[in-house]
Amino acid sequence: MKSNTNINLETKGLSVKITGIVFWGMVLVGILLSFVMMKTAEHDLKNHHNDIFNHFLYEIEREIKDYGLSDSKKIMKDLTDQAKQLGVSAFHIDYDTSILSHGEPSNDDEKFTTTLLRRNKELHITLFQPSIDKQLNLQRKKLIISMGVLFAIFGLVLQWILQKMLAKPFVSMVKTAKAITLGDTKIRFYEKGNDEFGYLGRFINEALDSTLEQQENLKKAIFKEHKSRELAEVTLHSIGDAVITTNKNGIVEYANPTAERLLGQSLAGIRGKYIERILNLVSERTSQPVTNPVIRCIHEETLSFNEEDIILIRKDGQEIDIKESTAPIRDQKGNIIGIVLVFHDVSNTRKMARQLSYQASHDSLTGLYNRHEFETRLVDALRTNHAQGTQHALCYMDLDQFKVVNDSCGHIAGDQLLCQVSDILKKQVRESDTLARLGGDEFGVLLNNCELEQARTIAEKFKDSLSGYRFSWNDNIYEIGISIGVVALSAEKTGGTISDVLTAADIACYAAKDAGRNRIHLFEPGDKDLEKRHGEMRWVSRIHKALDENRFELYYQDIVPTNPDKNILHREFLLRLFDEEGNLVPPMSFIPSAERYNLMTNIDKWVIYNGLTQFKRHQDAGIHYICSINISGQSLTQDDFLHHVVNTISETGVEPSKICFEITETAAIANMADASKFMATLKEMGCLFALDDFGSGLSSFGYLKNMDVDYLKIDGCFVKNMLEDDVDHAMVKSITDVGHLMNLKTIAEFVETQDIMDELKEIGVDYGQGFGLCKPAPLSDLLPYEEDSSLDNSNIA
Amino acid sequence: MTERTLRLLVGLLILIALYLELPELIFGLIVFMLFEGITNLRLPILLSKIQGIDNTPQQHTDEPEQKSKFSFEAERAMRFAASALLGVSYFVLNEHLWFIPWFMGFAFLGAGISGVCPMLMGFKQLGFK
Repeated sequence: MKSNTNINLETKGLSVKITGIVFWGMVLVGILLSFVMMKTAEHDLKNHHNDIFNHFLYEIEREIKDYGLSDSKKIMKDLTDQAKQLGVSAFHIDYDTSILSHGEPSNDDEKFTTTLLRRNKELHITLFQPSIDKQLNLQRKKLIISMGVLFAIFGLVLQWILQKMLAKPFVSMVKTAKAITLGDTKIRFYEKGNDEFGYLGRFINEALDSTLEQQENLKKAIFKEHKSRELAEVTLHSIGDAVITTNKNGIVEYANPTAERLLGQSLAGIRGKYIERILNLVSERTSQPVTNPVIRCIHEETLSFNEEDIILIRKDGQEIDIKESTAPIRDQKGNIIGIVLVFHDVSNTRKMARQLSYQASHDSLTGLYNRHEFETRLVDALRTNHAQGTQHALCYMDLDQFKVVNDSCGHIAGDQLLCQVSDILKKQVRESDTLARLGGDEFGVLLNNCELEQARTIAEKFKDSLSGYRFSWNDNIYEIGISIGVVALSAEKTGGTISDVLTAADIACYAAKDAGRNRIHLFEPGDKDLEKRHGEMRWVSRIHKALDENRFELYYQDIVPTNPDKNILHREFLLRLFDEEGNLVPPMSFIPSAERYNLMTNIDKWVIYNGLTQFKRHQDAGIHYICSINISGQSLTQDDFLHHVVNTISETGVEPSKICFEITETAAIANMADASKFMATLKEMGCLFALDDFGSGLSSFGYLKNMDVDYLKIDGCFVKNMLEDDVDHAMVKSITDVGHLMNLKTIAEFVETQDIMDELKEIGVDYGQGFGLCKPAPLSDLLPYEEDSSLDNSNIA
Repeated sequence: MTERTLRLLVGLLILIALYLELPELIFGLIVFMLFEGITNLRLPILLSKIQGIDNTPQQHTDEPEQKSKFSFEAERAMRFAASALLGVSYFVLNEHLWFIPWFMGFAFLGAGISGVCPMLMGFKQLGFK
């Protein structure tokens, strides 16, 4: 308001000043002019005043001269006109008896009297005229009024002109300026005139436009800057990373809410403090303090981050895993003006990484190291063994009876057994040793800096620790043993690779197992048992090759009924292998290797496919018998094998009731659950089952209750001497009796003479099989005229 | 009514009185101005009060406000001076100062028309309020 008042005063002041100067100037000029004119006018007036009477006398004389005194009317008229013209108020002329008179004199008129003698007559003349003061006063009034009015009018006109030319544009400019001052940015100065005001208006308008444009740009820039700053601040406040900025000396200037949360301190509490006072960092690995990243960045002047895993220790003692990075903040010249530290909580990530690392290196069931970690450490041990000449040893352990527990009590029991055994073994190893579960019921221990004999002692401890252990499950108690193969990590003894070492250990372990289980076997080069194992291993590739080259052939051996009227002939399909030279290889040369190295399923598939295919042809050719095919224990546990059998039966179209699968008593009992499933599926289709080698393995009549078989094949060891050995005879008879009681038919193996066959018939055995009845012959002999070109192993998975 | 209007009116009355030779009117104007000067009951203020307009004494002059030395108002001083000058020049020394009343008449008239009163400005320059 004060500025408005000032503006009003200033604008009015200028207008008033212009008007005042002009007006009063005119007044002064008028006064001076009036005085000058007044002097002259007064002088003239006084002269005129003095001449009036003489002039009037002159006029009287001239009239008398021209007209005489007789024509008084004419004289009167002329003198009256003259009196008016001269400003004479009144006059009296007396001559003889006549009086010429005009006007009435006022009291203050001056009176002039004289007597003239004309034509002998006296003329008394009296003249009245206004006094000189009165005339002067009147003259002054007229002059002053006229001058006053004239100069007033002139002054007003001049004022109007000046007002219009100067004051009005100026006031307009001031009003515009005032409006602009009050914030009206659209208003502009009048700029159309060609005078100085127009030029000034244009100039100011341009300057104003430029200023406004700059102002607008500045506003936009400020707004943009403000928005960017706001966005940056919001971002800093919103991000999950903690951000701390310091000056170039490491004094904290800013911390976002995440930083406050992770530090457990407010910004107000840490602002202005030295960074090392608020950021206590230690190495996760060593638990030792690490160089503060901000200090490091101040010294290095580059973006940096710590490779090490770092833990932030808060003021309240809480530890948080963090990952940090620091970067210098530079000004436009590149000088460091501060440091920004960014870090985030990686507790979950590290926890997960630790979990993943643990899971990757440990067995989830037992908590021991897994095979991968074991092999990694084994590689390290082999490397140090070579480089430093240190001696390490490896124990390869396999639980005895684990399969029995697993199959008879279930997987849960098996898992429980493994956990308990793991706990026992864990107590026996040194801290420097590596105990791992290598798979199934196999364990390995890497004994660092351990001689072979010392390793043997430790292995003994393992074995002894389990010797008193009994696994209890559902009121059943199992004695658990362990077979251990011990190997020294020596390039001379085992070879230099991990594969060599593990193979040697595996072989040693199997040697221990073969030697009667729950034993320790040290791997020594030249060991006969181990050479045998090596031989078995060589069979692996030979079996694969034989399958690829289709060098297997099926033979058959009749299973002759003791009473042909009651029972139909059986033929057992037997597998034979021909080596590369075409020589026949006895089954027992390769079957153990195939069983040990899990090749039996492939062989069984080959037998099933080729056997059933040929059997179908025999049926089609009118050769009727029941074919018996042996199934290994390994195949029973393979789901895909069961599918293969079912599919092959369907594809070949043989009658399932004409097929009898022979499962060894040991295999059936060892894989009870899988065997039951296998038998149930195929029995449903109509297939028959025979329990092979009954009496020689884990014989128990109790198992027969749970196994839905049709035939019992009495192990040949009882049959071949039954005529001489009463016990064998009794065994054969009792098995036969029990079988019959259970509606099972019995088959006696190893019938080498007709006498045995006769005796079998006598005691009620239903079938006999052996060299005395029928020697094995190629199956293809049953249809000699047909080329078996279509048979191969292409259908074997 | 403002002071400016009053000055216009007074100027006209002086000129009329001079032209028509009405010494009574001149006398009356002198008395009027003296009354206003003495009592400060100035006609514009009184009329404003009667009309209910808040017309407290304010800067009616066209000059920027100046710091006054005296608390006496320039308007009142001007009235004293004008009445004295008019009285002396018209009634006492009219023969010699006959032109002063005329000048004053035109001065008042001019002040009324132009809004600029040199006498008032002069008093303010002297330090009157």
